[in-house]
Amino acid sequence: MNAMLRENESTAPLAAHGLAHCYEGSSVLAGVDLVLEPGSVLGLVGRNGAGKSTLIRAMLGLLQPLAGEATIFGEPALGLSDATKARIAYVPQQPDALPWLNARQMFDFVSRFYPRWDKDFAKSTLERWQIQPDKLMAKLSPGERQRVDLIRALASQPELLVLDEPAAALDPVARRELLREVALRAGESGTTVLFSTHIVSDLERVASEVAFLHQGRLLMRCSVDETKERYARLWLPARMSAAAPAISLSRRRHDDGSLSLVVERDAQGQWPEAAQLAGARVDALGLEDLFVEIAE
Amino acid sequence: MNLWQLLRTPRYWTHASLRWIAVIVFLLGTAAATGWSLYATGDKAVKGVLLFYGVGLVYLWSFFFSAGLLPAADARQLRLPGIERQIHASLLLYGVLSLLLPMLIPGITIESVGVVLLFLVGGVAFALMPRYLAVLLAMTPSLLVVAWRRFDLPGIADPRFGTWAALAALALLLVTAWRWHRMLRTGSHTTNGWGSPIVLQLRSGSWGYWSNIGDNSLLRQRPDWMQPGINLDGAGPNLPRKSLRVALGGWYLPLTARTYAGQIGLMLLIVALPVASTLLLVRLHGDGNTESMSTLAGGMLGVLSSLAVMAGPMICIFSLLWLGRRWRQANAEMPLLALLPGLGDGVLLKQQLLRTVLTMPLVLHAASILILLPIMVSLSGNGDLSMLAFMLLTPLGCAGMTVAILTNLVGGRRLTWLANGAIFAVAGLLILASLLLPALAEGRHPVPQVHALMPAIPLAWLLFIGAMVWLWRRGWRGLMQLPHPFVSV
Repeated sequence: MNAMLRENESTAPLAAHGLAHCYEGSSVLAGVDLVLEPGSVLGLVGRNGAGKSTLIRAMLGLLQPLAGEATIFGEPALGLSDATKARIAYVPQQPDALPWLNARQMFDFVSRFYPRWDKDFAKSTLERWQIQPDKLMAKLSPGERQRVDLIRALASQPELLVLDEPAAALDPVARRELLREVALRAGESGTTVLFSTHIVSDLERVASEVAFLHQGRLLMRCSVDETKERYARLWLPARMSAAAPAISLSRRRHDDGSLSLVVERDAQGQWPEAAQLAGARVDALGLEDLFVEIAE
Repeated sequence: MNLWQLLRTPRYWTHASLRWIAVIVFLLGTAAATGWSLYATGDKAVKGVLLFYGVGLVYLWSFFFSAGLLPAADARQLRLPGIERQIHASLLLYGVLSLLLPMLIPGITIESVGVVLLFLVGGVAFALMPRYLAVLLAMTPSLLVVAWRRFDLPGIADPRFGTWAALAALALLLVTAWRWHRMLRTGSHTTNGWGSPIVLQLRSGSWGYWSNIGDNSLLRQRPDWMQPGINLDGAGPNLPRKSLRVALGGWYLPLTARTYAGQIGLMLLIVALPVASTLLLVRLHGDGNTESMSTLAGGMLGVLSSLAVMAGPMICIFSLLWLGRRWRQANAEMPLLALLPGLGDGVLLKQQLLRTVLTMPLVLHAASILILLPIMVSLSGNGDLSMLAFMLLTPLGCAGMTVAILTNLVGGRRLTWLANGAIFAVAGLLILASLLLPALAEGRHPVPQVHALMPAIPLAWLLFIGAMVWLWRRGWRGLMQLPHPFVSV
């Protein structure tokens, strides 16, 4: 069984083991383990500076981590073959590549490297998203540049699509269209998607799984549908705070001495014992509330 | 708004380095003018004082006081008329002080106010003029000299010149005021390419234009008709080096033959303008005086050779700034190239990247040597052989510097600004020594003591090149140790 798991993991579209990195002495990633199953859509959530972009860059081999390793389709991320590169597409946060080309030239140039480039998709999406193909990339608005780069990534028909804050510069209409496209790719072509975001409603729309990154650590990971069932806020009045469970995802003491904790059901599907005490309260949490509770 | 506030206002207009440079240049000009007034007499003294003071004043008003337009325009947009008024009052105060200050210098009288005003307004006009006009400034001195002699205009020390200068200054003041007012209304953030005034560049920081290199703002400012035609023919997995050139941009971009022809034509035009104006000067003033003609020809050779020599560090600095930005940006070309299939991998890709990065700067270094060669040949006829050797050493040393610095950048061992600054400072000193010492030792009025220093120049260059070889090796080792050349370390 273990051997099978390891084999699955070794050919997983994206896997990271013990990734650690720091910038100027301060830790950004502290031993992150993360494996993406084929066809899954994982939303990576975290506050500014939580380490999302660094984690993505380290997992794709764009950054040499201080410790740990990452693999893509079983190959070390820092030494990918051309065949594996052809299966990946990545859109960085606020993309700014090749500003001296226009969209048409950029697609013409990049398409030569991807054997499965979908020329019709690139052309029609460019038209649909009303982007002038002959306008220099440098002269496009940040949102337009982001959309051009998204088309570039999608037109290569990747098996693994990695998007770093893809909706940050998009208007609501463009964001909906992007999410629809991502959902379509994942649903119909089985594309594995990893995307980071602050916008929790985007996760609910498209992600099958969610992972919370906080201060360089992966605090939790579960399916989006499961979060409401699996996690809750446990409130204990001040006199009961001694009974609070030792393990929780977050712990906050209020001015009146009462305690709020984010707790998880155990293997038997039970809340911690303290939840049964008289006066204790268990509140269901939406995804956004859960994110705020953990990140605060 | 008291006097002290008005005097302090310009302090906030520009970056500290720009402010200090402008003030130092002005003080040097004023000191030179004062010194000159003590040693020279009569018309010569007046002429020297006005010229020295004028140069400092033009610099001060071009690169410091003119920058007051930027906060004034911002204040106008933010609906802060008090600040706008304070800036204009401060400018007026400094204008009056600039006009009155030279009156303290012995020999300068109130008649010279018109000349000083012309310098002052000329400085502001320069800062406000469209950038494309700055290209034409190269031929202005020659044309002024021609015009002066042709139309027998009064000299700068002539009392009649004061009246003429005052009228010219008033006319220029009207044009400048109109331009200033227009910029106030349009705002200081508007960019309309080559038509935008030089003063807008002062907002970019102490490096001015240089801090914009590699930035999209320059691409945005360039009008569509000036965009180069990019030649993508053949780029792709079959031609990785051409593909890398497309991805590196800037002067690495493969261009169409038409664009190359246009660029070469423009460069020739820029070189041809001062040459043509000099020839015009010789022709109009051609009195058969071979000495003055040979002086002009010598001057031209001097300017060309100095430009070719100074191109060395410029090529290195430009390459470093451009590529530095490419390597620094985590959201630009590096991730694209790292994940682009078909570029190859391993040592071959690293070698190809390094060759691509180095080829264009080295071609330009070679071009500077090609410009120097005919000059050297013409000089060798006069027997100034040592001058030739020194001139050749400078582009070679600069090429070594470029190779070393860029290899470290690509090899993930980017040098700190301090280290780069130290290298540029040493190279600059060596270049100056290579240009000046031979000229002093073997020029028209040789200084015998300088001869003893001559052997030190090639020795210093050899040491410098040795250090660059060591630095290159450091970068090369770093590159070989990287898992792939586009990784961020």
